[in-house]
Amino acid sequence: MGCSASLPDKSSGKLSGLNTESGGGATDPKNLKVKLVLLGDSGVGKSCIVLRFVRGQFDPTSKVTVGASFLSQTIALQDSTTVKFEIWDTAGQERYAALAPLYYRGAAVAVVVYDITSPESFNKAQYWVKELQKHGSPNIVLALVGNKADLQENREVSIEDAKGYAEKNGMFFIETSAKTADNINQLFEEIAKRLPRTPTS
Amino acid sequence: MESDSNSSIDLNPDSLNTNSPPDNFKFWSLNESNNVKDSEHVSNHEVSAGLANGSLYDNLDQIEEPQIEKPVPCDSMIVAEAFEVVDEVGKSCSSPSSAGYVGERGSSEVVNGSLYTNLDQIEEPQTELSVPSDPIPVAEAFDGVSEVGQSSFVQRENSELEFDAHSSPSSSGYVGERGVGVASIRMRSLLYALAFSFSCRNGLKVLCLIGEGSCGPSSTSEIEEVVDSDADGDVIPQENTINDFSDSASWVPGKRHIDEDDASISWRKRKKHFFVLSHSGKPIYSRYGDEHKLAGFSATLQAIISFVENGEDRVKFVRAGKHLVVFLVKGPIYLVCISCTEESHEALTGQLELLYGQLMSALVQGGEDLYEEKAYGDILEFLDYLFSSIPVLIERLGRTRPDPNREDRMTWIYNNTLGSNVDKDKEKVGKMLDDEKRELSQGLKTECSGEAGINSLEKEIKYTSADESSDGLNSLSHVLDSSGDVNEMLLILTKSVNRCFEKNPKFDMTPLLGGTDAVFSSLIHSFSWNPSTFLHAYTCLPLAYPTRQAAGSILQDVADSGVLFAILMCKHKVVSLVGAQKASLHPDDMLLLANFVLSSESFRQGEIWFKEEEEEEKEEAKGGGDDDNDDKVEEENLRVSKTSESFSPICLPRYNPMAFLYAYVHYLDVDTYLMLLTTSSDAFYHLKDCRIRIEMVLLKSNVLSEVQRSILEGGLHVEDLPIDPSPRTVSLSPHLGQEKITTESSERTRESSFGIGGPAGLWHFIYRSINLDQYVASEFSSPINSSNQQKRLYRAYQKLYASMHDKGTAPHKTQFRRDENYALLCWITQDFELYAAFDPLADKALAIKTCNRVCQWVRDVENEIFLLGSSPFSW
Repeated sequence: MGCSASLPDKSSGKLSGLNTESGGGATDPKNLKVKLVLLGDSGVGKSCIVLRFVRGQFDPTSKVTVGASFLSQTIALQDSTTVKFEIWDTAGQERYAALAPLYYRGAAVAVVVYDITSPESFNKAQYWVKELQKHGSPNIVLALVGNKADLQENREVSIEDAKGYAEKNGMFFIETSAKTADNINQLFEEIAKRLPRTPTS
Repeated sequence: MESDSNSSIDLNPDSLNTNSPPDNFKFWSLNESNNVKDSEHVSNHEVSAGLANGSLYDNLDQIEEPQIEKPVPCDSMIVAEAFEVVDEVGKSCSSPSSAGYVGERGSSEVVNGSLYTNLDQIEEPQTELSVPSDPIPVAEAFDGVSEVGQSSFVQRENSELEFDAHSSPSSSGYVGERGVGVASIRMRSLLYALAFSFSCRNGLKVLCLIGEGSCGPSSTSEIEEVVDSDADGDVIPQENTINDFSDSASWVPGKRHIDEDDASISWRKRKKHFFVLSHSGKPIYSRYGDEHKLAGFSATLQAIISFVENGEDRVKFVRAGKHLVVFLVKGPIYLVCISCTEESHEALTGQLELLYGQLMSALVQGGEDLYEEKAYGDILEFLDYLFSSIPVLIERLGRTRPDPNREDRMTWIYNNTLGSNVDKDKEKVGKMLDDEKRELSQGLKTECSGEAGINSLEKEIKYTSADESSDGLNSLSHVLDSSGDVNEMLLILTKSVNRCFEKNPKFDMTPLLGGTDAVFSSLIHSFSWNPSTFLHAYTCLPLAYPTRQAAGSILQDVADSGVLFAILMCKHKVVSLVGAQKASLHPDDMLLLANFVLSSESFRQGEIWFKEEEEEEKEEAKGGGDDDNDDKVEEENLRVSKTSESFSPICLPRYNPMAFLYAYVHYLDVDTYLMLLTTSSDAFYHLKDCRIRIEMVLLKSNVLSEVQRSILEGGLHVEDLPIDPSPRTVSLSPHLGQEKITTESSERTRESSFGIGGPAGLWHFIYRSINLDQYVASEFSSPINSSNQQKRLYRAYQKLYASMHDKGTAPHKTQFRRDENYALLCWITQDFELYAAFDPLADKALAIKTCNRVCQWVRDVENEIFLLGSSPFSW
């Protein structure tokens, strides 16, 4: 039962990540291209955030992500720079957790998502933050996102707690709602602003 | 092709094969006179499969038409009505009264692999119960299930019974008389409870357990019982209403009836249950109901399996009234199907095999899953989790240093990780460890990266021995991880997943399967409509030869660039498929792969938005950035950004059950999707480029629009069967490919003849090409247009297939069988298998003639309905 990772192809058997040559940033400071990865427990709404951001849509039916899906979206900032996000929307299932390095390695941005109605997902988010601090790119921009902010009445994770945790870990924190589109664009704009403008090594 | 000059006179379906009998006509007449099994009686009784040639249904008349008793009061049900059924070798089995066999069997030995449990004596509700010699195990064993048994009584129409009387039903006088050991009692209690809970409707009459003993299946026999006179493959109409929605055309994958458990009446009425459980009885998957609530039931199943295993035997299936309980043991995973669909146990076993394959493809990630499960990244925590041995390990890390010798290092790391919790009984376990060590190092050398793997392990060991505290542990895991190659370690881990179950019987696998319900339920659904599940072949979308060639050549290009498999599919049908050299894809893997992709909504996610958003997207993109420098490629990328692309690990159990591949999956339109499989985890961008190339070519060469057209037109229609295959004018598929003009006309003629099926009462056929591993099925004609009828037909085919492929008997060439629903004809040669369904009143000689024509027809159009040429299967 179960099995090991890949096959004979040892030269590429390493989890070197899914990088283009410029995965961690871009050479042209006016047209940035960044790799962004979303991590978090299953069902917190990672895919919904991405779909809201990329397509402006919201699909309330839950679709379990398999492995990871790749999408991209370009935004323009005030200072006439454009940022093209290459987004890796990872599966939240336990089953895929071990493969996360494949997706977050070389990422310039990691968005760690939790569900404000689920303390458990907040714990999982903290796990991911630790994991990223340990194994992520050194200059990675970390964002902590409390999703499902429209469900205020069911809130179980307080803003203060999350904010405190984010500050302690040097993260950018925001609460969003993919359903109402609240703060979704802000999230990505804020991330874009925080990107290091000089190419990272 | 196929236009050779002799085609006008040659009716020989074997004409393609040089090895086949040269004179088909003779062949046929031979068959007609001697070989064709003809059970012309209309019978709802499944004809026992695979009888010896010639002496076929000799006994059937005795079996047929059992006196059926209408719903009987409980106490009269004890009178078993067991009918002798011809077993595989045609000899009748022992009568039910020989059920004392259980007792004689003893606790561990099995003679001839047969084990009959005659429950009618046990079941006697009026019997005064004597206390069994050792009541405790019985009670224990029965604990989990007594509820089932009890509540099933509630359903019985005539339940004046005392529940108490049944809380230990096996403890009847039977025990004393037969002197059966406690284990046997327990066994029977379990069977009893199990069968009882499932045969609540018609009552359990006879239960038969068939083991797989040294003498093999040929010596097994069945005591079978027919309960319902209208048992025609469809079960009680009332059930149909509550039952699976699988019949509806708009079937949506996903778990149903999650609120049920084994106490629910509705749950027990389901026609077909599938269970997956661990060897310790923990539920892993159940088709219906909440796994966690079915723990008791799972334990019952486990007890049955392990009881038989204790006797160094294996339980294959249990028949209980209308229900068949089929078991499949795969290491620490047990799979069970409980069905009253009248499918054969071979068919159900095949389905369990596929289910296991699908489980593997999910669990495979399991190797790593398990590693992550609780440990969240730290490999030693995983080991802790796996073996509950971390304290021992830490202690040992503190005081032991690995020997410089490599072999000893292996021992060291092995003893200190995998074997660390065996301290107490070192002597005993020593040998076991040695074996494992050998296995492990062999595994590392061969399956892993050889030197590299061992080196990396050495590195770990150095690190750990350097720091002696738990810091050391962290650094170990860090080294492991930062070396960027967890693969080596994972090999060890996965090698020990079995061990994981062995050492931690409480291991709960359900969390690992989160979100996979849809995949399993969709697979189970496909058992009733997808012939691939029993034919072990795949089917192609009918396409003009040049169209398929165009698709194939671009896929081939890609495969040459390092993609292991490139597969273009439309729903469940293959458009084209190419494998890298020497890589071959098993049809079962394709089935599982397609099922996995089709049932996982997330792969399609982008496509939903694709059309609606196209316009806006373009504008947005324009407004977004003015990067003119990346011309064409960038434009493509913008297109790309509209649909999501997925990159996911997947295991193809037939290809390599111990490894997983990475699958790039992308929908090109609503139904058509491309799968690129690779062994390399960082090939995503390469695959993405490949996909862009492929998509461009497919669009340019109109393959995608041809695909859409083919979907609309469908495949072969029995109504289109050429009247006479000999005239040369009949050439090739009227409704396929380029010959569009003929298509139109034939379309019309078909519609006019709609409602009667094809010539000679031909309703449907499946032609399976053995060399190609492909089959083609005709479209359903009107006599079988409801999904229920279709399902029934597939089940009939399934039985036919099972009977033709029965290993116990000589291979059959032809079979003709008639029942109230169809006349079925099966014909197998070296090259193909043909399954055809006719009107039940069809003339046999005419049917045979028609089959010849079907074969000729299929061969005439084979380059449009099959994927020929550089098939990866032919390597």
